[in-house]
Amino acid sequence: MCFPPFVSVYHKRLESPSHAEPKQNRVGKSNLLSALRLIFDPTLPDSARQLGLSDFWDGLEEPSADDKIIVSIEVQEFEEDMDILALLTDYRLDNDPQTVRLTYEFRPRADLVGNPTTEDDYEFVCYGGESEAKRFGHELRRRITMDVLPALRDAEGDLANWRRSPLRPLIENAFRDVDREELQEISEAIEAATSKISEFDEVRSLAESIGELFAEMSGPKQDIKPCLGFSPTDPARLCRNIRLLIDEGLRGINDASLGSANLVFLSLKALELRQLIVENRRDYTFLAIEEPEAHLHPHLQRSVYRHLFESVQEGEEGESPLSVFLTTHSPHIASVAPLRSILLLRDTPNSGTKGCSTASIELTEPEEDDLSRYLDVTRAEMLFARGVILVEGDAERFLVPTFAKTIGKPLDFLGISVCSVAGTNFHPYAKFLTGLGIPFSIITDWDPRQKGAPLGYSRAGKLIRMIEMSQKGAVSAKVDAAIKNPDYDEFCVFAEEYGIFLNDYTLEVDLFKDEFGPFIIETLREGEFGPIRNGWIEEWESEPDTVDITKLLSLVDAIGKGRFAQRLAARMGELVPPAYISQAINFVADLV
Amino acid sequence: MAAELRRNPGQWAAYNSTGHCIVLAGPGSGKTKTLTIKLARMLSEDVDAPRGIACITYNNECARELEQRLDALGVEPGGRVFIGTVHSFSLTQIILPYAKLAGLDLPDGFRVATLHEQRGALQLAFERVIGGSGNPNDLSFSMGNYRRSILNRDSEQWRTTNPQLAALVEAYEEELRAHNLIDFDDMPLLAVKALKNNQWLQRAILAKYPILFVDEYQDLGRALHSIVMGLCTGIRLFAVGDVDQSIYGFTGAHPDLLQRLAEREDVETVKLRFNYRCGSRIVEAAQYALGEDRDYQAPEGAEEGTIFFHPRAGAYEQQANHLFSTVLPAALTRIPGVLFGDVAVIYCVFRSIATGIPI
Repeated sequence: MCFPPFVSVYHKRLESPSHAEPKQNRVGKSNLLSALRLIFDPTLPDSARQLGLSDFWDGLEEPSADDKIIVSIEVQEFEEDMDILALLTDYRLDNDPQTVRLTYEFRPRADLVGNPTTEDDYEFVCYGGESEAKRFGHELRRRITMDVLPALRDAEGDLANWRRSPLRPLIENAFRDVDREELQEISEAIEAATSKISEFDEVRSLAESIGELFAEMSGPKQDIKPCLGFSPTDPARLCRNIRLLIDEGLRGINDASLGSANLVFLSLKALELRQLIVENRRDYTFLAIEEPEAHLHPHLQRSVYRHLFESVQEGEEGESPLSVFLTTHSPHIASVAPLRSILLLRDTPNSGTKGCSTASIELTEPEEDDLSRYLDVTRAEMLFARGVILVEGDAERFLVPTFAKTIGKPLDFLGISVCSVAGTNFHPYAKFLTGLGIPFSIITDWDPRQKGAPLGYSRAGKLIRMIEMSQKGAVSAKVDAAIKNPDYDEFCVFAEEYGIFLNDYTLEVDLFKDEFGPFIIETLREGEFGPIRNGWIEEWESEPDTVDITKLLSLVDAIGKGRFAQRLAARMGELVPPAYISQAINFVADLV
Repeated sequence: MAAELRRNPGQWAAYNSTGHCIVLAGPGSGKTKTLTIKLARMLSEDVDAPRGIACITYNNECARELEQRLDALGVEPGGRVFIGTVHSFSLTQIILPYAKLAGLDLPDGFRVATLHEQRGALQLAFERVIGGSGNPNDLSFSMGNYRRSILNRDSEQWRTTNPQLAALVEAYEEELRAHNLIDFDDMPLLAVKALKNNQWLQRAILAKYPILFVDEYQDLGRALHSIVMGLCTGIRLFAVGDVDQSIYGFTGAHPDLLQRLAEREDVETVKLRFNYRCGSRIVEAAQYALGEDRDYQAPEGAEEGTIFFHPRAGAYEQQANHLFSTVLPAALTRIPGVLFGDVAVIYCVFRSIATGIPI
């Protein structure tokens, strides 16, 4: 979902439990769009703005006189464009001239006595600022408009139907200035072609029999005089017969694949919007596309929406007066969306759906760049996860799901993703997940050193500090002391409270010492090493205590950590994982 | 319609003006017609929706007349076009939408005081500031004038010109506020205050009304003048007025403000020289009477009009007597249907000559 440049805060007000929000499906993506439509969509009739009792949140037992549905949009940075300023200036907040608020409210009628019982007891108002006297309506929606392309739309059907076709406004516009006389000529040419067609005896007799049969059935008064031809020849209607053709004119659009039809639909719509803006019929447009991934294969999803996002970000003259909202399940689209424009809707057990925006997470520029690069298609999956386990590398990424299955916590089933940060820089990812409110745990190596404190010790300490800062805004003296605690065992227990789970050395070594030795030996053998290195393997097999950490890791590296882990995972069967891994899995599983 | 303006060079120049334009025009010169046609043109050529034009008139009657004339040109008020007095502009465009935000310190749910309530507030203020047995209503007129002519309350001028009136005004306004009230004179003053203190509000007004029309500028007082001159830079102004026609000087209007505006360098000043209402000789004679040459003319081919001279020496009473016994009845018989109430008498000394005469 992409935030418009001038809408920086969006909220459905939920300050008290009595403020319910409309909620119709699982997490409420369509809900969010419906809510926006109540405010901005000029094609929505007032009868649709009059909601119903069923639109109250399911968690509410029975709507009482105090229950209202409130949708508020706050807008900032609206002063640049004079047209937008003229439209919105009256709706500023009473104590903040830089913020405009537009509110839709559905509530029991003002003159109602007692609790509302039927839908007729409700009314809706749309007002700006903090005074109900400042009503807004079509005048505003006409110029600051929301267009919705619904999910699973019938693009083909719409393209074929003149009234609904996004081609219609474009064609009508293009034909406005076409010379009438030239149209007349074309129309005559069509007429000539049509009469040529009916010169064929076969065609003429077919047309005649249609006509006769119709006249017999309808009687002379109702006769519509049917005949056969290419298109009606009235010059004024000529443009309606223009069709969008594909394959250089060989085929009609209804022969195109569903994906292409959708793409054509989207391009036409975008063109129409551009025209409306150029002709000053609109000042701002919210284009909402529901589940745009439908019918588009992954490469197209990425290229189409990357283009859309880029064209929104770089308007030709300064800021573009277009905001695109996409509601999506597609990691492909999430991976090309600007990092700062993601709004995550999550189901919470007690208070309905909660929205978390990436715009409000405090990230440094390098962190932001790092994350943007990181959120490729596989990792963008993180955004759709109910919980995330962050790990250092591919080894853990292959092993953790297997371990999870062993301890009865199948990750796919629980909606938990394992994401590798390819290294030990957990910081930006942990910050990002904390900001979005996605439960996560971190599995990281203790990495002891010859001299000085183990690397895992300071790494975990920094992470704890960051999580404290993000959640509480400050690090208390107590936490600070716990971070500096020289007792490593106590420190590790403390880190677990933050979802950070540490081992004793590194993954492979810990596994070796934790009953996985025989499987590791077996896997190492597949490396087909020379006599010296095979000698080490033999020795460790007979005397596991003699294992040399450096040598073990060099063999694993030679095979490749990821490949080693994959093979190990395949053979280790039902063996219980080391405690720190089980704990990390359970930590997240308990929170989702 | 525009073609009609072409014959009159002044009107045509005003119609084609591209920047600030001040039209100085005597009576009967077609200035309201020029204003309405120019407004309709600018609305269709110079301002695109959703922005609009504000047109400020001296009173509601003028506003209605303008509305009717614009309606005939296909311009409907409401939405993009504001037509109304400076009071209603201040109230509906500035005070009501931004009362809280602009820091006007108005009580919640304030309303406009009735005459009765204004008197009550003045009574209380009078008791606080002056006291004694005097009639506070005697001060109402000079208080209002003081309030309208010195806008800057923080200035030395406000405090020292008449300290008693300054204190009375402040007490009076406090009493109004204590009763959730504002009065008519408050409206433009509050609007000026709001604009002065809030840069964003100036920009907001400019966004909504990039063009401001003012009719009868000479009668509109200092508050509007300061809005026009300093506060809303960027707004294109089209003002019409006549320094000789200020009939509301006693309410705080300052015809010299129009003169000063007309002298600004960035302003195109257009004079409408033709008087379509009077005969050529009358137009000529009027300038003698005024004692200043305004270069007014009747259009070519206009009637000459007739001037009757009745030289009369003697005292004021004798002149008055002659006027009512001989001159007026003769004039009324010459033009059937004219009543006493349709006749204006201009006398060289300000003094009521109508005492005791039923009109």
